[in-house]
Formats: sequence, C-alpha cells, structure tokens
Amino acid sequence: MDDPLIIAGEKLSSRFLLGTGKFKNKGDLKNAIVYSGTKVVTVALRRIDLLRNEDNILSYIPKDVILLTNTSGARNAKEAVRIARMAREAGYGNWIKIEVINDSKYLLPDNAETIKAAEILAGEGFIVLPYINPDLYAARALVCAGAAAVMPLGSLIGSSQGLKMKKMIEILIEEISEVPVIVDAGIGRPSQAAEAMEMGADAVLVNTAIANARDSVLMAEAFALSVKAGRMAYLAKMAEANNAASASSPLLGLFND
Amino acid sequence: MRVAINGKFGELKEGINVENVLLNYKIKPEGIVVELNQKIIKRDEWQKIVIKENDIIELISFVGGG
Repeated sequence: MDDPLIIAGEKLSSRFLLGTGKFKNKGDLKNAIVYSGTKVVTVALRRIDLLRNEDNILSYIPKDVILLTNTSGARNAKEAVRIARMAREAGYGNWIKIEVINDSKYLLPDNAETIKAAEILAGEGFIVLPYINPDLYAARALVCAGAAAVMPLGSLIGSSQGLKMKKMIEILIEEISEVPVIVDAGIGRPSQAAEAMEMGADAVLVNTAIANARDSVLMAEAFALSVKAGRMAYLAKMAEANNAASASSPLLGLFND
Repeated sequence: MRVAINGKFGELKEGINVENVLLNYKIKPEGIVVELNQKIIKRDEWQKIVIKENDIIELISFVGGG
C-alpha cells in the first residue's frame, strides 16, 4: 500500500517518527532506526564534553533518515530560534522540532512562545514542526505561521500515560487539514500508538517507551507495526460499535432442530 | 590567554583561530557548531576568525533527544 506521509512536500514511507534520547547504547539506537523503518528521527544540540571524546551520534543514523533537531533547553522563542540557527549551521538540514518549555515539573510546551518562534523560523526557511499543547487556536496560528506540521502531546513527556489529551487531539485532527497532525509525547505502548492512528493522526513520535524497553530494537519494530496497523484501520473505515450483539455466522440454515 | 569554553574557563594560545581550537580539543568537525560571543561562526570562517582574550566560545554537537 502506497500511503506516504508528506511533510513540507517530502514523501516519507513511514508514519513513525523516533526520538533518539535515553537509548542504552548507540548500537541499539541504530538497530531501532533500521528495524522500525522510520524516516525521521529527533536529535538535540548540546555542549561538547571537552574532557571525554564521545562517539558522534550522527554516525549511527542512516543517511536517508531526516534529522529533526529539537530546540530542547529553550525557555522562550528567542532561545528556540538560537538553537534552530545553530542546527542549520551544523549542516544537517533545516528540519526543526520547536520545543519551548518553561516548566520543570510537567515539561508542558509554551504555545504562545512556540508560535512566536514558528513565525520567525518559518520566515527564515526552516521546516518547522512545533510541539504543542493540543489547543485548536494555537494549531491554527501555527498553520498561519507556516508550520509544516503540528505535534500535539498525547500526555506528559516521558510519562507513558498514553492519550490523556485524546478529545483535544481529535479536534485538531478534525479541524487541521492543511498540515499533518503528529502525536508526540506520552505514548507508552504500541496499542496507544495504534489508537492515535485509528483516530486519524497522520503520524506518531515515540522515544522513551522504546529507549526504556528492555529490548529497544524489538519495541521499535512493534511500534512501527502498530502505527501501520492503526493507519490501515483508519483508511479501512472501522465498523461502528453497538450495544446489542450481532451474530457473525448466518442464523439461517442451522441444523440442530 | 583566558577564554570561556563551554561554560568553563580555559587557557588558549594567543592568536589561535577557531579551527585550531577544535584541533586543540581533538574535535572532528562533522556536525559541529561554533558560537563565539553568541554569534554563530560559519564553517568557512573558522580559519579566518582569531580568538581573543575573554571570548566566550560554545562548541556544540548533536546528541540523542526526543
């Protein structure tokens, strides 16, 4: 089935995006990328540790996978813009996950600052994918600002609580048709990823649930399959639920009288 | 001369350029970003730009992140 995810005109063969944080080792990360078939991975920018010569993460990411650099660490729009410009200068593309967080307990994104950053960065030619609280007005403002997707949180980052924001995400899916809606954060199990896709989300981004699994590679593949299954179910249009039973086998031609 | 590199004070030789700072710390240039006094230094300027006393240098690279 040819059903690409299209972001900013780029056709992607997978609707599963992978975060690269917290993996036990880089070999697992590389295999998780390969076995999940993901075409977009998030990365962050940090100071180099001058005392330790660390392995470069880029050598574990296949060349055909798009780097989506997040602006983690940014507490306002200005800091997010600074990080994005650095990412572009690093020479690995211009895809940016805008992530502006000013709350250390819940790590909730600041939608107002995110919109400001999106306006500036989209104006500078970046492909921006903002991480947001699922709010319709914020999503609309981001579309107007030139965002290439909106990425509402399913639940708190790293919490594995699943789709706590389900109703609000459903509204975004229904109302935002100009760009993909990608559920990011809080998805803890493949069944929750499938649920997001069945709802009509265009894609799902997962990190902690995979990195913290005992077998991250197997879990990455499980998530990729669940995303695919959920997408196919959405396209196939699911049968309605009923309160009453409905026999699956014919009620005629019984031979027990 | 004294400079600040990645949040810590360090000593560098007078007249050293950005490219040599990286060599000094044995940092391979792939995927590296250099900021000098909050201004990004483009790759083609690494040889040209000379570090001065009290400069604030940030050497940044990609890490795993969500």
